[in-house]
Amino acid sequence: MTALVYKDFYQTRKVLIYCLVIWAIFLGLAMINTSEGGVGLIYSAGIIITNTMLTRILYNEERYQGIYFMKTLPLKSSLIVTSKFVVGFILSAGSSLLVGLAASIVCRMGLHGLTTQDAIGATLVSFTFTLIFSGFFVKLYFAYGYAKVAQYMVLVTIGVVIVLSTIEAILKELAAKTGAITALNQPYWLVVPPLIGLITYTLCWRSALKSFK
Amino acid sequence: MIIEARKLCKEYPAFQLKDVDILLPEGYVLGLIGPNGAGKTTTIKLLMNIIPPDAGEIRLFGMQWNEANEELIKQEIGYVGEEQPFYDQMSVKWTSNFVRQFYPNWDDEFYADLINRFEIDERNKVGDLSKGNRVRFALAVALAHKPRLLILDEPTSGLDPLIRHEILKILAEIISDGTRSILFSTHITEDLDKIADYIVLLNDGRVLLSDEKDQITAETKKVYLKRDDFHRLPSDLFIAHKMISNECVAVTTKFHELKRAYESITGDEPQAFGMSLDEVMLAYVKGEV
Amino acid sequence: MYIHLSQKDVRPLYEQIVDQVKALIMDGTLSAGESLPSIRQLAQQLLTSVITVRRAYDELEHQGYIYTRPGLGTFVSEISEGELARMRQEQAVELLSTAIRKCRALGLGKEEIEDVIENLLEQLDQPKEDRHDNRS
Repeated sequence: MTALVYKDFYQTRKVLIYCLVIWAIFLGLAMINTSEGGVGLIYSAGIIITNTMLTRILYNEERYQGIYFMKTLPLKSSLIVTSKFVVGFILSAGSSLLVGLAASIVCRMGLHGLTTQDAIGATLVSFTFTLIFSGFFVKLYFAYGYAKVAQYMVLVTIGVVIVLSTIEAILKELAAKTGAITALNQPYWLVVPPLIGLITYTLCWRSALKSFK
Repeated sequence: MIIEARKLCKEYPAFQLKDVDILLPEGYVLGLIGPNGAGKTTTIKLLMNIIPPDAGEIRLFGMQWNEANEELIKQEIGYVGEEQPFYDQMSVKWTSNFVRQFYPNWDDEFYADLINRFEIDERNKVGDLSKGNRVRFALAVALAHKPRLLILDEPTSGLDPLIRHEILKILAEIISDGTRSILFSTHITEDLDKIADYIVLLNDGRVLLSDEKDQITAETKKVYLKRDDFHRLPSDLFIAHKMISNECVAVTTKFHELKRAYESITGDEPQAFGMSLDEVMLAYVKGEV
Repeated sequence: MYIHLSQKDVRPLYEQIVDQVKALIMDGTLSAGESLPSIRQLAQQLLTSVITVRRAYDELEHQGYIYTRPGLGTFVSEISEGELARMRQEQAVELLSTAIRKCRALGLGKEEIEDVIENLLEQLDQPKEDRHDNRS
């Protein structure tokens, strides 16, 4: 398992550095640019990094027939599938931590009026979103191959955004109607999105295991 | 039995593999031959569990493919695919280091020997190796863990005769201790088939012929006959013939029976010639002499 | 032990091995008690199938030219001078009958064939330096 995960990151190490540079630039921009957009850049770094890395890793497998290659080696098929989900998880968690790091730096510097809770919230929301994104990405990759996924992932992403924001809007409206809006602002509600993300991710993983032969 | 596969079926939109049996005892070599598109690669991928069969049963080393056996079985197999996939952008050294982690029996010294013998520079990217060196490297990687079964899918296709001969010699060396077995596929014969003990001829997804190679070469002969004699012999002795004015060149698959029949008609021995497997294949597949 | 195999030969490969080993025994290249390579060694050396060599060895053993001691290997049998002479005779009959049959097919009569053979024998018995020994 470690070997397979390490292989993916080692093969894309240049892209990883490139991603870190992008992150640093976004952070720099957020420090200079005090408008709303500056913070938006930091928040979007998570999905940009996850998407760039995952695309590159799966593209590599596609280009060099990596899955076929690995199937000729003494590796269980389930391990090949699971390793990609582990990679997706590490990317989601890692890139979200970078989002959190950037947000807390900005918060420490007293910019954008960010609070610690905002930084934690940003990390968790980014984690949720990138997790659901990579879950679908990897699942669809194993189901339909890279070409189709690359083509339709944008649509899937838009779909996920719409569904998530709809759920959020409905919840807020519901909370407002029932007068539970104060409860929703409690910090412990922050764990709900990552939980949804983890459940979705697990479902994608199980379904990929089942369908991949 | 090292390989015991029965009634393998696999359907694709444009191609169907039907009822393919492959049996290979320990210490022997089986050649899977047939024209392009006959189903050789599909058969090999089924045996390797790279794709699942629609029907049929596969046992390797007496074990069936399943989640629990997958690693065990593949640890005993050395595989070289047609245009063997590797991560082309990675170096030879990285690739062998990557692969060796998965084989408990990997022998570093033996691998180093092979790489030296093949004169491959380990710093090269795999994608930059010449076609011949890529096959040599794939073979070194496939042999380094001393597999009990070597599966080679068209390993020599597109290679020059010198490399083909080199590979043939290595394969002969491998089976010389009697504990290793080889299955290879090829559409150009004349080289690898020399060491084959068993031949399975595939065409259009079906087995046309499956036997000991010696049996095939002993019974399949090209005979030169007078046109009249040809017509006096039972037609089921032949699978192909060509008339040249009053003479006839025919391919028989029952040479001994033909010899007896011919002798009883003419009192003489038929004029017969041995055939290469290439010619045998042509006669079976195309009905051509 | 040099053996040459040809796919074009009408004889099956195993028979080619049998014939050549017999010839090597008859001309004394292989002497009684001498050990032969193992089946797998010979298959490797000739780049031929194991089954082919096994069949050849079985045949040679069956005809009494070689014998196998399990665990020790395969050896050339002790063959008496009389037996060897008989085998040479047998071989000669086989070779000449093929040649004669072919000559007949060319339309040669008994006397013509006898003439050819006599002439040939005379020619071949000339002093040795006049001819090349092509046997390898």
